[in-house]
Amino acid sequence: MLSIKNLHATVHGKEILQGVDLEIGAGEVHAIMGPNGSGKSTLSYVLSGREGYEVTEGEVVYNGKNLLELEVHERAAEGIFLAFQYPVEIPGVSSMNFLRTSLNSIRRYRGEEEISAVDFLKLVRATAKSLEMDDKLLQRPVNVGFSGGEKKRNEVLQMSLLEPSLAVLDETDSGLDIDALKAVADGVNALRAPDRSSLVITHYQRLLSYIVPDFVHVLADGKIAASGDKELALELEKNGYAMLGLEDTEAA
Amino acid sequence: MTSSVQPLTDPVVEKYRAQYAAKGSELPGSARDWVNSLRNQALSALSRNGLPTRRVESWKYTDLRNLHRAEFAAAAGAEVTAADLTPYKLEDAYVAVFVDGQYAPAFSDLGDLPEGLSFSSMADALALGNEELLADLGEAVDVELPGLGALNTALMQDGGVCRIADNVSVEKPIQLIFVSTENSSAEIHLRNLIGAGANSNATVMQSYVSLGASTGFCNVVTEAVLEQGANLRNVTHQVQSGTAWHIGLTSAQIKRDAHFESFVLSSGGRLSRNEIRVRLGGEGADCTLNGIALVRDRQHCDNTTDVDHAKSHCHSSQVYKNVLDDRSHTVFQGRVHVAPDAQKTDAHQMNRNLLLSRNAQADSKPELIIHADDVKCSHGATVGDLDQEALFYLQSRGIDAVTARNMMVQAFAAELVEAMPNDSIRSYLETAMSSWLETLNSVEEAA
Repeated sequence: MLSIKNLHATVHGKEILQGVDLEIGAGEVHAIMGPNGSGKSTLSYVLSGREGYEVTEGEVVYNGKNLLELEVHERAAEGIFLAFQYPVEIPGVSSMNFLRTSLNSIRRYRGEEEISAVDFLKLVRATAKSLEMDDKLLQRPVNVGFSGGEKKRNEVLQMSLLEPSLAVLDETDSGLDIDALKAVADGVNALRAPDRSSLVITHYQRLLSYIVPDFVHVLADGKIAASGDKELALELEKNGYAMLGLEDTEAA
Repeated sequence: MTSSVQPLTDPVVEKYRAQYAAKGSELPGSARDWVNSLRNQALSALSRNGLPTRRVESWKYTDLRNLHRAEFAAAAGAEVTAADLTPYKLEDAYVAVFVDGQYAPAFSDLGDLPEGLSFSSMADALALGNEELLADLGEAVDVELPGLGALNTALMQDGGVCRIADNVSVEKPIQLIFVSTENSSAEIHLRNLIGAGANSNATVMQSYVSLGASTGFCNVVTEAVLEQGANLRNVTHQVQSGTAWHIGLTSAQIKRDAHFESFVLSSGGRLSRNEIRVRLGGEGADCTLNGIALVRDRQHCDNTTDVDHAKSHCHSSQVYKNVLDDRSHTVFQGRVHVAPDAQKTDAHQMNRNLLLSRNAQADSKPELIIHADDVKCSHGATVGDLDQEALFYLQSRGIDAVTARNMMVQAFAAELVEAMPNDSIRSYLETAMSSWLETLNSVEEAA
């Protein structure tokens, strides 16, 4: 599904990714762990096409397409979804208008019919309910006045509506209490399917108890330093990144 | 007589004096002494004071020299069809249409006006010497002030006169549409007069539109007098062609407990100015002045306000938002004057500017002059560009860059339009904003 080969990327002229190799097959859940500053978030932004993140070498092939040639919105329409570490507040843009424009943009790109206002409302209400999210929140502008947990739930709500084939979760666990963490994990797990994959980026093992990965990779100094299964995450939790000879800038 | 000191004569003022001397007798109302006297007083004020230059504080950012250099012709009067006007007509409104500065009853749709609402064209009212309808003419405009008000009073041709009787509530809006025909290069002096009787309630909308390219000059003065407890909403949409000139002055006298609300949406004209002067002249009087300017290319749009808190317990609120692309330029000057006995004044002012281009320029100048000590006054101004984080967020959800940018621009300005209580005006303004957005540059060009 996703094949990353020798990926180098710079931000403001500084090389952050220094040759990342990663293969993600259909239906797999991969976790990327690593100390702060290792390039985890950079990887997620490069995959989603954020401006300012320049690929200098390597390739990313997604479902047979050269991902790096696609615009940000085209990547989303092709099925890549980035759950933000810090979801953005957008005053003046209504949540419902945002969600509907998003869903219909993606449908149009795929040559599907746009969803009617009535069907859309039903879909959003049902999805919010399944995530135990108060749909009154959606009467507000995008993320405005949401608590940290509500913002993360809103990310999962968008993910559920857009049904991506590759979900990239960037530090989705940061700042969440255990209830919110469980709710978010339940939402992600509900989307698991043989044709859908996830890339879970996290600093701590905690989230991986709820979203159990098939593979765990450690990103350090812009490269994959180690790969394994979920046991690797547990070992890292116990012994710290120091066991790989890495310095953990945010030791728990 | 080289030795005597003569004031320099302004050739532009001389041109207008000559024009009045030659053609004054053709202006409406020239058979009425009181009309002639009003015009003559204005003309001598113009001769004494001259036309505004940038040396005058209230005209610091708007230079009229190119306007005065331009050549204007008499009204062209090209053919207009009813279909041309359809996009600009409000639904469910009393509509008066003026073509190249002349009332055009054939295109108007005034139907049966409700009891208590009178309408006349200014030209007819002046010609007939309708002193009852024109009782307030010149009441709210000080021809001594720097601006084009004196010129307008001297040369006023036509416009709308609306009078709402005491205690009358007019449900539907009254719309005045001023159309410039294709290729018009006419200089037109329009004068509107709105008299809002005690405890009356009405909404007036003025639309200034060009059918095709126009290089004309529209100098418009709207006078409004609000009697005790009156409610008047005045909405202006100026969408003349990008090569036209538009100088507008709205001057309102607000009496005790009356409420005046103004909203101006400007997206047209190479140079435009919307000056609003409000005198809160009775206790408990109140005004809300809001505006949006959407400009691009080398357009220049100036919104200048002057609110005079003359009495106590008055309230004024102003929010002006500008969206600028290319090399356009906006000006916001907001002056609030609080008189010594205007205690308990509440005056707020905000100007926000959204720059879509690095080459655009927004000037913002608040001016609070406060002579009372028990007042609440505030002002603020912001200049910024689009939030890149938010744009990326929208795009990462499948929304293309142009749509995302337009959503953000709409979000910036929409609150002022959304607050419009009249459905047909709100939907008219929403359509006007969307049409402007649709013709914006692509995102790459704008960057």
